[in-house]
Amino acid sequence: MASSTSKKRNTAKKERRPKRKICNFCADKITEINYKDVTRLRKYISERGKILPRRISGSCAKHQRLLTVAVKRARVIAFLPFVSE
Amino acid sequence: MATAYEVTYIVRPNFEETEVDTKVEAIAEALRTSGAEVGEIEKMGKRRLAYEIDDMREGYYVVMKFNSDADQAKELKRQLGLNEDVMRELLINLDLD
Repeated sequence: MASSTSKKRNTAKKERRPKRKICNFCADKITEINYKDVTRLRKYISERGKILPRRISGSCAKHQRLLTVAVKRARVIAFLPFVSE
Repeated sequence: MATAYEVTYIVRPNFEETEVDTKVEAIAEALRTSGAEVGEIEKMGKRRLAYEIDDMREGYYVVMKFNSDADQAKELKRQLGLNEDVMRELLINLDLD
């Protein structure tokens, strides 16, 4: 159902297809993400302190999993905020 | 079987550097007497906290690596929680990481 309508729309208006981002961690061949590495983790949280989704950060599933654990640990020990205004 | 652990804790900032050292040594000694094998102790020094804990904005960060059974590690976590000088602790099993 969705495919037929999107097909029609495709001809009228070009659908946005952002180019696939390459996972930063894969590119750097990083196998573990440490919660003490605050400067690195900072790049993966929003201004509010939320963890950026894969869609934005471009991380692969494997590294995103490691990343979320690292960010959550860093929050517990006050390296990163739970919320920030 | 012994497991590799890493514990990070924050000591209250209203102490002198030497006082912190003795407190850290006391915690390490308590761990050793409980039968754990204490490895590297890294003092990260005074750092700003990302948020206030007990109305404090900074604290002394200490990271300790040690090998022990789960019981000793659990007991250490309990003791750090009871310790008035320690504001926060984080225990991590390095073997699972």
